[in-house]
Amino acid sequence: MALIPRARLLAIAAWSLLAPATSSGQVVSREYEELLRRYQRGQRSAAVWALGTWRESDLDLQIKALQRRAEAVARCPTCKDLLDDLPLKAAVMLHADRDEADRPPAAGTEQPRRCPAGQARRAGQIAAILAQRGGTLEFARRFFLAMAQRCQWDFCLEAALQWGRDGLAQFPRDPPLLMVVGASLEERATLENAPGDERRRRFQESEKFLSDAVAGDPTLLEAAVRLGHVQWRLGEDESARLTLEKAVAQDGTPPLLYLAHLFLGQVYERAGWPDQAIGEFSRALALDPQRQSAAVALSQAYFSTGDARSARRVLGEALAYAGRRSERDPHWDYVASNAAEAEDLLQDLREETGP
Amino acid sequence: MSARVKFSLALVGLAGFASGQEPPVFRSEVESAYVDAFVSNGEGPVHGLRATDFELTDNAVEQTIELVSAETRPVRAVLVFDTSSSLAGKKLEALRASAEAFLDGLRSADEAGLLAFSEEIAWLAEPTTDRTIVRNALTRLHAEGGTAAFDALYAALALSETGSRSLVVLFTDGEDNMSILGERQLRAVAERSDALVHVVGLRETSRPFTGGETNQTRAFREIAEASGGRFWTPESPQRLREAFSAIAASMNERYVLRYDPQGVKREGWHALSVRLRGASGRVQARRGYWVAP
Repeated sequence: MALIPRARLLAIAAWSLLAPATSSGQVVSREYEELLRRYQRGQRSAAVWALGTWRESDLDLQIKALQRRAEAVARCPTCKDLLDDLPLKAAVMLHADRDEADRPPAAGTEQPRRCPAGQARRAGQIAAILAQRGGTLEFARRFFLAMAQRCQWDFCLEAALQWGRDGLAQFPRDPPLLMVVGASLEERATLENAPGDERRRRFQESEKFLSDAVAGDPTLLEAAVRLGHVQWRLGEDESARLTLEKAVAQDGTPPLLYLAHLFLGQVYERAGWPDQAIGEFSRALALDPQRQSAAVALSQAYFSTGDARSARRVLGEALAYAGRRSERDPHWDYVASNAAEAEDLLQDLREETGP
Repeated sequence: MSARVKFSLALVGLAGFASGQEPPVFRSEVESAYVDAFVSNGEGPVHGLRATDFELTDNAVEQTIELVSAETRPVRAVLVFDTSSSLAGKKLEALRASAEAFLDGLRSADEAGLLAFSEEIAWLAEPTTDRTIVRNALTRLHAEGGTAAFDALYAALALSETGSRSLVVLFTDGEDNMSILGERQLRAVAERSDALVHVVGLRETSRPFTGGETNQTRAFREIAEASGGRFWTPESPQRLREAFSAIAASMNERYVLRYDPQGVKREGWHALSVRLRGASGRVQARRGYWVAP
């Protein structure tokens, strides 16, 4: 892609600012539009590479032009919809992919990764336009969700919260968006070393979002499991018990049911009901005997009753699986497991950018 | 502290002890109690103390004690090593060298084992007097994954043997992010275990235990101190090695106090206090032990 001459850009910018917001007055450069079409035609890598050669300020002008077109369309519903001519889904994914390309992979499990920046912000600005248009609403909703999840997965929790909240600004009662915000707040409260009051406030905020998610979709088991766990973290043991007892009775994937039993066992254990705790931990372990967290919890529950023999047996069996587990324990990835599908979701969106 | 047990023959039969299974942790009857104590002043360990220099109370009742030679009671040490990804590189090398120094400081009759953890907990070497096995295991340490320090410490405590001088040395360089257990459960297990716990938390400027003492640091420090051990915060690989050497050396410089509990209820929590009388020094010893009903 050829760079737009600076003088021309200045002219465009000046004209954009001065021109009346008529449907014909919004300028998106031909070069930018061609870039979007390349992405739309499936030449994604080339388009992503080419976008990387643009200056940030030039790109911001293009976004501004798109926004003005959108404003004009909104003001004149009967006028020709100029946005119909532009592949906006491709634009969203092009900027999102460029952002991903700009971020080197994390060096290891506990190593930080650079968080999404300017290109992601531009993708979000275009997605916000799509969120106002009937035919692309669902695309926009899933994009906000996927970006929030991607940020959460990369431990960019501030960014995850921002994406989630931006999404909720467009889709206020959407349960998956409510859940990703609740889960990001939960992760922050869990992992960041904040003072006690601040930590509690984050858990309380998380509880509110998760509670709204469950109210919006009572079949969303993951939100219910998280809600119960957060309530337990807050010391709201009775609420946690009720939430998780309902959760274990729901249909769900084995990893989610495993977590539900595991967390309900914790509620019983702290309540001083070791037999019930042992029952729940055993049910969790029965879903997959290789799971270490359930085994450790069960072992400790036995230990607390004085049954050291069972405690050691269960623990010994768990340690014997080390290095030969066929799957990771869902508890190990729990803090961000809701975000594990982010890349799949983004790939689905990419596939929808074609003509 | 450890408490030796008298089992009736019937109980032994029921428990399957004769068939090679391990006896339960909780004793049916306490005969004698053992307390490991370390006495130091500003210059280092204090040697040459006699039984009469110590005052020990069990649930506020003073007990008659005798000193037992530490040589007659081998140590069973378990090294519990964080191998999460943040250990990669020089830190892992320093940890291996520190473990070697620790092994060098043990006596031949002492056992040592290696329990490694990231999110997964694994015996790389079960406790043995054969140092070659443990040294080979050290070469297999590999830095990858998250940190389940509470769960790993639980495993070491729950699997620690009774009747020997159990020593657990936990090394970690960061915050726990994978454990299912928390401080409350770990405290309870530590109280019910005989093991002496030392925790080594590597502190470095780029990834410190941030903002002063974190909840995890405080929990580990308190658990270690309640068992009679210490929380160590070496600030460099060289200091790390010194810490491990000092822990091993201190096992040979500890006083083993024995007494038959008198005037106290057998079951439940026994709060211990060990002080010096007529001698100066700071005593580090377990603050209590538990006997199940």
